[in-house]
Amino acid sequence: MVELRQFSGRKATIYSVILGNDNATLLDHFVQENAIKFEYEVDYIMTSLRKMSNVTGVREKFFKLNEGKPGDGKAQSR
Amino acid sequence: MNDNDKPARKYSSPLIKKILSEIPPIMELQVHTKMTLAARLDDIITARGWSNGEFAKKVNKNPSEISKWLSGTHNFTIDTLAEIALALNMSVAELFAPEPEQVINKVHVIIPVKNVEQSVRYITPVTADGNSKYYSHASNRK
Repeated sequence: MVELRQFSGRKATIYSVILGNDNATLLDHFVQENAIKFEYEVDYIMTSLRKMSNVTGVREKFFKLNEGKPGDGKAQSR
Repeated sequence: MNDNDKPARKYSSPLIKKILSEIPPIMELQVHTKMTLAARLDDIITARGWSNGEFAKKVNKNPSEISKWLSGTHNFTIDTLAEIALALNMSVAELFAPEPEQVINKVHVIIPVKNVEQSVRYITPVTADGNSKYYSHASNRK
């Protein structure tokens, strides 16, 4: 696990994972695979992560915790 | 030390660094505004002790709509902001006001001091009333 310098700020520190002898993180691979086809979305995600690390902190409500599973868009009441 | 206790190595990604350097200023501002507004709303709702469901009832919306509002990606209309402000008994402008930083203005610290020379004078700051007063003492410790 590595601490991502670009996403380490006064509100949060975000980590990624490097597998085996790889030189890049899983986040790098995700970005590389999608940066051209989904340029706007990748830019948006990167900007959001930077805001979380520096401004808002990482909040559960910023994420879909069960993305891809049934009811992933359903509101969860406390 | 257990391997699990070691801090993670710091890693700088050239790819992400490049992408971040090319983010258009308008996207930076849009994301900033949406996320800080969502965080502010979340903080207000939490501070009032409401669940998302309770807040949803106050603004006459479905709880799923509140989840969207708090996701940090929602593009609010002026009408929606007015509805929210009314429900929270605030102005629309106040929804964008930054949360004041919490400032600790009173700290009790005990510092053991031994063998201070008689000639040494030391001062004790008094900050409980917010003023910068200092009391000066001549050391009488031996």
